[in-house]
Amino acid sequence: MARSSILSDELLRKLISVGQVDILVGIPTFNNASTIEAVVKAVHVGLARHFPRERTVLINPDGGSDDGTPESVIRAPMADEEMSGSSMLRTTHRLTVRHSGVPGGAAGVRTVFAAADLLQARAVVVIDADVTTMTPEWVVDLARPIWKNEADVVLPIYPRGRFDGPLVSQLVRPLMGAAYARQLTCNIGGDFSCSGRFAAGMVGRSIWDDDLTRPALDVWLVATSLAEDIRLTQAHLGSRRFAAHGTLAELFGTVVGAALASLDQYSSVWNSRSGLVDVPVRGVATEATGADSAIDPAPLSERYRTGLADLTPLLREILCTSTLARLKASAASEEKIPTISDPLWVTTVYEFAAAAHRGVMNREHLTQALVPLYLGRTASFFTEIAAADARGYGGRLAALEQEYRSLRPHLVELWNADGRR
Amino acid sequence: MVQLQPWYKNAIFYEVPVKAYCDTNGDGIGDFRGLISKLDYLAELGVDCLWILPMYPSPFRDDGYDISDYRAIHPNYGSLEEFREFLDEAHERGMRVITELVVNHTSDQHPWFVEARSSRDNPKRDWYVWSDTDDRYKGVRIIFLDTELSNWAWDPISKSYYWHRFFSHQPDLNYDNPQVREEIWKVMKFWLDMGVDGFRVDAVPYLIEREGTSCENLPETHVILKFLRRRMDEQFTGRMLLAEANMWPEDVRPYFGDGDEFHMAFHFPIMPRMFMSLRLEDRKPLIEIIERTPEIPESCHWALFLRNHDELTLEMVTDAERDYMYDSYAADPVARINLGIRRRLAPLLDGDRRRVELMHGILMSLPGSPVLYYGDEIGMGDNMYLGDRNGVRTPMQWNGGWNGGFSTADPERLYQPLISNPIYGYQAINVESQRRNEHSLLKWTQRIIRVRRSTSVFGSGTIELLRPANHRVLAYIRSLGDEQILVVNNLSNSAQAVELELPQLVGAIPIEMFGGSLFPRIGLLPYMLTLSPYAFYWFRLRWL
Repeated sequence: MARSSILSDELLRKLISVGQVDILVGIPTFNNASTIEAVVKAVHVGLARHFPRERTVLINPDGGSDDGTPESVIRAPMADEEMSGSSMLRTTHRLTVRHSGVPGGAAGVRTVFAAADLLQARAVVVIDADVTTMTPEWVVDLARPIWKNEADVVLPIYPRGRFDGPLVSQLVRPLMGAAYARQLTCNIGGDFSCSGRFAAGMVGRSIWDDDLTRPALDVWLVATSLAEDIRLTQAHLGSRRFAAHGTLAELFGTVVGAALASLDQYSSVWNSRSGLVDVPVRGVATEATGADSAIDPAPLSERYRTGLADLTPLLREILCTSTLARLKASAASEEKIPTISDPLWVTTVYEFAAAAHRGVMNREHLTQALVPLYLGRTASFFTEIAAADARGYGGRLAALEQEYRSLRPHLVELWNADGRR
Repeated sequence: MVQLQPWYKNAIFYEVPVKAYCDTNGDGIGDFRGLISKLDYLAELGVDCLWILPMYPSPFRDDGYDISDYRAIHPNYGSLEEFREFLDEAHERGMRVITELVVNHTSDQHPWFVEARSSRDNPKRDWYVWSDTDDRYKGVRIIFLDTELSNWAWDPISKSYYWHRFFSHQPDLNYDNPQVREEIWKVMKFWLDMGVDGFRVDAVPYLIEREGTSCENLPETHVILKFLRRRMDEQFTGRMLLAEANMWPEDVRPYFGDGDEFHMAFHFPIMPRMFMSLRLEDRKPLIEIIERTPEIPESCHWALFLRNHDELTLEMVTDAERDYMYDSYAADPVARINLGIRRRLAPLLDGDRRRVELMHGILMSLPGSPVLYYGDEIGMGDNMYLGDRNGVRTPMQWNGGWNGGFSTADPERLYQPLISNPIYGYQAINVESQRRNEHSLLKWTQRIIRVRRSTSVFGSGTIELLRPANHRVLAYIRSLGDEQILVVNNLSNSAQAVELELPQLVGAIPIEMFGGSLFPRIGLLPYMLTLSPYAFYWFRLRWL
């Protein structure tokens, strides 16, 4: 029986013409016509400026756009005179192809990885199609550590505003960093790069087909890198705005669910680790551009209080008695915005992680139960840092990460316990 | 009906320095008697026209390009009588001869300059370009960057500066002076009367100087050149002028005029791009320069070459391209001179026979007349430690015996030492051994010349570039009347597959020109070909 193929005949023919490459840039798309031309142009300018001698290809796996995205990819200007004084010595290849699989990030990335495997690419850079703030220098910032054989995966660091991305800064990154004993400052999600070796190794894994892993590929790539001791580097890029994809509940289900599941998969790895290993950081940190708009924490706190009350029966299955009591005490306080301290928050997260591991309930229900607590924590944190400058904000995040590390033994103890709370 | 084309459009040229070819009087320097003795070899090789490097009297401070007498033969090379004999013998074998004409400057030992510098009132004073200061023509680039700091040199005799675009011992002639133009025409006539078939005119862009300009390619230059061409056409038929103008092709275009200036001009920028495309394994550099090459008058033609007596010039490339070429082909800084690389073809290509063949295949199939450099037909090496560009002008290697068969003199007396290393030395690389080996580079070169001469398409036809998705393949169609040839070159070190979209050739049967093999008929679907590393195909197309 014929085996199904990741690569279509059409793409394979195009890859044959491209031949071996040094740098492969992949931009998966699905209805990104409004942003893709600028992204493609920035990629080509970046390659022309920083890798003019190298063999390069831009591959756009498209999930079936009906807004003209592939045509926009091909149409994006590439003439040498537009390259701001640089020029490529070699033919610049640009391919667009309809990929099989569910439209979205994972299938496109897998196509990119498979192409990288076949073309023996030395460095693979994956760029999101909606990065309106991308500059040509992102290409070299992501590719160079791979190119110089200093890393196998490069994760991005974007300057974030104080109120941006709390799901990552409050939960996912410090949780994974502490669990795997790695000093992380990167974003989980977004643009990244990897070696051809890494890409080739990932192509055949089951993460692409699993309903749990596929929607949160970013998390799984990070978890795999951390757990399997892949040479990891973090690179400062410029500002990046993330478009909201789905509701908070959906985001929790995929991202937080994936983070918790990865802890399960790699349990034996992170359990045996201790201490803290630095992950190299390259480039120069920049300030976030755009207005640092404060968010009104009051509605978040309201949902916290309501959710805490409604979900108490569930939370008794998940949390230790003392932790639940402290949360209730915070909710009952007369403060307009209840305070959820770092220790309380981290303890909560760890007890949720352990509960997910023990399988006390359906994982989806469990992650959803964390949502109101997360909102309460977010409101508390936002209130605390409302008057802080960038340095102060950075210090608070560092303190939070330290708290995750300090309480790591609690996670380990709960994880390996026999069910007592 | 295909019009009869001028002879130079279907000619294969062979550049040969007299001193380097064959010495018959035992003084260690090649001479015309020696050249005569090798005409049968050249006829067997199959070349149509010999380009003789400067053979005039000279103090040899620039290898003969510093001329001290335009109407004589340097005694090292023989006599005028021997030169005439050489011309006749070449003509008898069906070969034409063009000689070097250095019009921009003379040696400072030339009697004209000796007179001009003797006093400010001398009648020949105005035959050169003088100035009381070195401030004139500021900003004009220096060509011999490695040795010259200025385009002005101080003359201690007449206490003034004289202009020189090349070495300081090569003062520029003043073409604003009608006497100079007339005298140069008389020099040309002298040799044309003798039977020379034309001239390779050295350094043509620099004849005129004007304040506030680059002093290159000025309109007045073309007036002078048209004058010389007109005088030649009035009195002689079938002669040819070949311009040496190291410029972008659009800047060389004016030197063709309306077919009333030069018949031919070297296409300098295409040459480094052949090497670049080969190393990059990417046709892009070549495609770009071919597309940039303008149309030229029907009677005119480009001269293409891989190497010559000068450095592989990197003037007409970008800085990034020059850096790439240096890194790729001249990692040893000794190999670099001025803005170029002083190496021969075979060493540049690491002695790789396949690459040597491919480069010749491209040279012979692009629009233009190929100019082969002596010794490249046997894969001669070089000696970059000899100084200046002498390393690519070493004695021709005829056999593995005494002095490589070049001369009976003591080796120490040779004008330059032979190449003698184990790879390119005369014991390993020589005509006699390659004549005996049917599979030698010499035999192969003879074959490709024969194949090229079997059709006029390469010399006189048009070119249509193809752009298959595989950038490692350079492909094009050459056409002349009803005759068409499909050329496919694999620039890569690895086997390649290529699909060619050939709607204009549907129904044609490709016949490979070297072996005569039939290939499948071209249909509506993309035509798939596979090529081994560095392979190339010439397909004659037949509709039957």
